[in-house]
Amino acid sequence: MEMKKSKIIFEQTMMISTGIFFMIGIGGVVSHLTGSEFGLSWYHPLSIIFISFLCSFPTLLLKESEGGKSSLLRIFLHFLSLLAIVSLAGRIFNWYTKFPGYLSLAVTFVIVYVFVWIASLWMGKVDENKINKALKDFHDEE
Amino acid sequence: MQVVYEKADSSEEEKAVIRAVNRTDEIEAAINLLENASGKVAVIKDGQTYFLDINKIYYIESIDKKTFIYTKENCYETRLKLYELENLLNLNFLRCAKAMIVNIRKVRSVKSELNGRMNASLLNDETIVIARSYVKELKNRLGI
Repeated sequence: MEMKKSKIIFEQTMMISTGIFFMIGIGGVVSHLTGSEFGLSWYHPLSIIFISFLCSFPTLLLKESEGGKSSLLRIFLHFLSLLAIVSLAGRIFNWYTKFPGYLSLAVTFVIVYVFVWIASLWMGKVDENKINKALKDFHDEE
Repeated sequence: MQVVYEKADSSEEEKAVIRAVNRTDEIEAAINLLENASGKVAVIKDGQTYFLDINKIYYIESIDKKTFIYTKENCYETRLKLYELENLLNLNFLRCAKAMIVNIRKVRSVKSELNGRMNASLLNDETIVIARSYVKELKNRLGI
């Protein structure tokens, strides 16, 4: 049975929010070590999960991609859609007020985006290796 | 489970008996495998009907409401629908896309793609796509 879109949305929401919380955690550690102030407002954690949920929808763009140039174009559109969602949400939820704040958010977004892709590619590669190892003993000799 | 093999003198005497407390999934799979190991499916090529040994099948594809069966070098048509074949075939056959079933024993290797799908290279050097949503089932079948 075809994997339900809702499952993909759920998985992506979890993966994206984990990435963002990880980056915030790193930010917290850096702030602590440098002696700068660090704090979250009461609505930040939930707004992050909500934005992760919104960001998971463009993933469906990638689901039916055919590979080759079409895949690269879809990935680029996916990246732009997510950046637009994050920028807009950041403005609405006051994650930033001035340009340096926005720049910091955009850099964080790029790091999280690359992290999620590397994690996905790594998981795919692990599956590929496991399957190929099992197939060696399983397939017919011709 | 203890497995006993006894040599039979003729094919008429061949019989498999499974004695177990419960009819588990594993036993069901074994029964399915034994029952269909020498199964054949009716196929058509150039207007002629043949009975094709299911172990010769590489993959099955549904195109425009027609079902095509591919072997190492040939392509046949069958009147059966993909879901009917799915019930007829054994556990070596896996639904790998909405309109395709592949014989796992004919898959040489797989390669993961950016979009989560896998390209499967078959023993006859053809390549087919395993959709992202069926990769988990493939892993289950291979005991991963």
